[in-house]
Amino acid sequence: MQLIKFITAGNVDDGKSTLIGRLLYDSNAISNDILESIQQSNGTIHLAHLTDGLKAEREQGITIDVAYKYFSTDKRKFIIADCPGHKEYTRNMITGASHADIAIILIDATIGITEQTQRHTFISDLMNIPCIIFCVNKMDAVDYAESVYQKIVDQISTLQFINKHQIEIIPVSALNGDNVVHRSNNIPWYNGPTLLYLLETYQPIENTVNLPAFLQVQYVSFQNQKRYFFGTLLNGNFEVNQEISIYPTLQKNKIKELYVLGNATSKATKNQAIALTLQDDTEIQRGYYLTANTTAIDETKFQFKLYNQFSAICFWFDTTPFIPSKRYFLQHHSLKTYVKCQSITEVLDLNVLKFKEYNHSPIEMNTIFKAQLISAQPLLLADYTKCAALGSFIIIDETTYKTVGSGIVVNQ
Amino acid sequence: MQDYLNQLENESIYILREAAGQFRKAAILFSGGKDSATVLHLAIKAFSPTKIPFIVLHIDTGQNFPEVIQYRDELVKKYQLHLEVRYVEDSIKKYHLSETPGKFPSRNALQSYTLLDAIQELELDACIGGARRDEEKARSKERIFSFRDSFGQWDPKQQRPELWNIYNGLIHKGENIRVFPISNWTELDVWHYIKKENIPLPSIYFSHKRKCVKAGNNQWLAYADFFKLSPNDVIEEKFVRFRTVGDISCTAAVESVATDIDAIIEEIKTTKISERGATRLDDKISETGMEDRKRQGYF
Repeated sequence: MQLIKFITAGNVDDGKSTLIGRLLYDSNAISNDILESIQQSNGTIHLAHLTDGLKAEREQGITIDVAYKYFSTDKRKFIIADCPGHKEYTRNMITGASHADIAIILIDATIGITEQTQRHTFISDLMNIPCIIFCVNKMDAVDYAESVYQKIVDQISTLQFINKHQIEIIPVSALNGDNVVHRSNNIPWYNGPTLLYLLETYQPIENTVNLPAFLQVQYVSFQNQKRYFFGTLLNGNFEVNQEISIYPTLQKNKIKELYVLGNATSKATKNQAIALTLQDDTEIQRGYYLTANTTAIDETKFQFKLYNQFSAICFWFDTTPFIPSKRYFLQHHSLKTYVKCQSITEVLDLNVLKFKEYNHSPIEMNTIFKAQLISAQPLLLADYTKCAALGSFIIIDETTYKTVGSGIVVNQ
Repeated sequence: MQDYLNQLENESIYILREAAGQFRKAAILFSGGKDSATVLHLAIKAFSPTKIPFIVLHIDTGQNFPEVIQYRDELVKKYQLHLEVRYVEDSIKKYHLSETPGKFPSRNALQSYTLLDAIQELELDACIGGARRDEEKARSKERIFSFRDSFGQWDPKQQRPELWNIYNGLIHKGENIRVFPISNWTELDVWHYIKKENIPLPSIYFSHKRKCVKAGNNQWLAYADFFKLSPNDVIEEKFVRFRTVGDISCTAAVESVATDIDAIIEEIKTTKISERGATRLDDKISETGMEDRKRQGYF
């Protein structure tokens, strides 16, 4: 069984909560005591209340944060990051998107594509979510008319994408359950898959770029007269006696011992949490990278490279605006260093979804901008679309310690 | 393609290693329940072949199941853990606290005082817990690295955005991070993992005959001496097991004949009542019981 993570995004009233409720309800993920608590006086179930949030949220009538929901079928386990659709949607959606294999974007059939739909699509695209499913919801409210669906399909076909995605468009009624878990008799003209079928059968695309094996050191422990390095292996394999390179020191070394989940082994494979010792005792700190040596110089293959200066698309999350001349912390997974902004080149105009030249107005919360950054320590980076693990970072305020922004590396 | 349990396991181990890499002194909050047993098992695997770099902290309410204390001490011996126990009884004396009144006097809410004192005394910058997001709606919005201010408060509106697997554990003196490595696991995931890994559990998780008190609508509590019962209370011997392990006074038993993990998994799959709904009296106090307690510094 496989684990799939997806996000749901939509306008305030287009039935996102009802859709999630429907998925959970029709896949039998709701227990009786929870069902009772959302039963209305006339005995019907208010599906949207399944995703009801905190007291603090109900008091203000808004959703303030991403909520995580879980369900599984016989085929897969799913994690839903439910992103609220209002004012702070950029921050919440980028957060949710950073964990997602699939984005589900809701469109109200009675309204069609809105500015908000375009923004959700833009962010899903920018964050390189490999599969985008548009659910044309409330088909019951338009008498299940094919013409309405077709018009929205045409609207979607005009959207521009930077990256490549698998795109699906499904006519649904979350309220009545059409094409969510069960195929609809009300929509005979639609021969495509239901939403759940897509979720259960979608195959995540493996990274297209051929990366050698590498890991970032998370923790170093000195015990039994040995230095142990702990980290998760990404891409490819590590073997005992294998030659490796250390970044950023560029030293060479050799793997002496390998442990996978506590057991000594001669070979570790992709995505395993491993521990290892090295032949030569050299200084390696948390945040350093150990990479498999690639001997052949092949221009088509990915080469690990260190950068002090790089371009990024940054997302600003904090109520205090970004100050380009200020020093911040940059956290690149297990590595923390200082970062400064050399220049802001462009800022996203959320109304037309185009990057425009920076006009020196303040970078407020939820702003997306392109910048040239300089880091105090050299970083092992890659374009986010080639390797998300090497191409993503967060920005932390040095005095408040709050996570004030994040970014993805571009054009490296 | 990795099995989902391997995926969850690797993700949790990554989180535990981040905690070890980022904090000076962290403690695993250990209750003896299946979730903290799972976290402890993951930590042992994460740092093997070296010793785990965390201490183990048990907040003892004095209302424990004796089976759980025995189980805890066996684990400490087996893995040579550094165990610290702090007692709610001491906080009650020190701060003149009173138990939640009623027939089943509860010390559950008082644990926060003991925990906050322990954090200060042991100079802990992080506490690692077994909370899961599927347990309760206040938990569903919890971060994996969850910030607590110097009063131990959780503010759902001021949470740090958490992207990819990048965890910001920076804090000022007096502040604390709660780390939740099994956030993305469900109750069934935990049971499947316990089965796969053969993780030992306290015996009360399996069906046994026990003297029980009726505590309301189809809820039964294990009988304890300190309950303030009246002659009208119904006391019966029942075949029960516990679905979660908390204090005797707030953890209801479920009637069950499941004596092994397979039978438990089957029961959970077919039973239609949520874990906390079935077993926790403390959440039923009000609709926002958990949210309120979390804001005040609860686990």
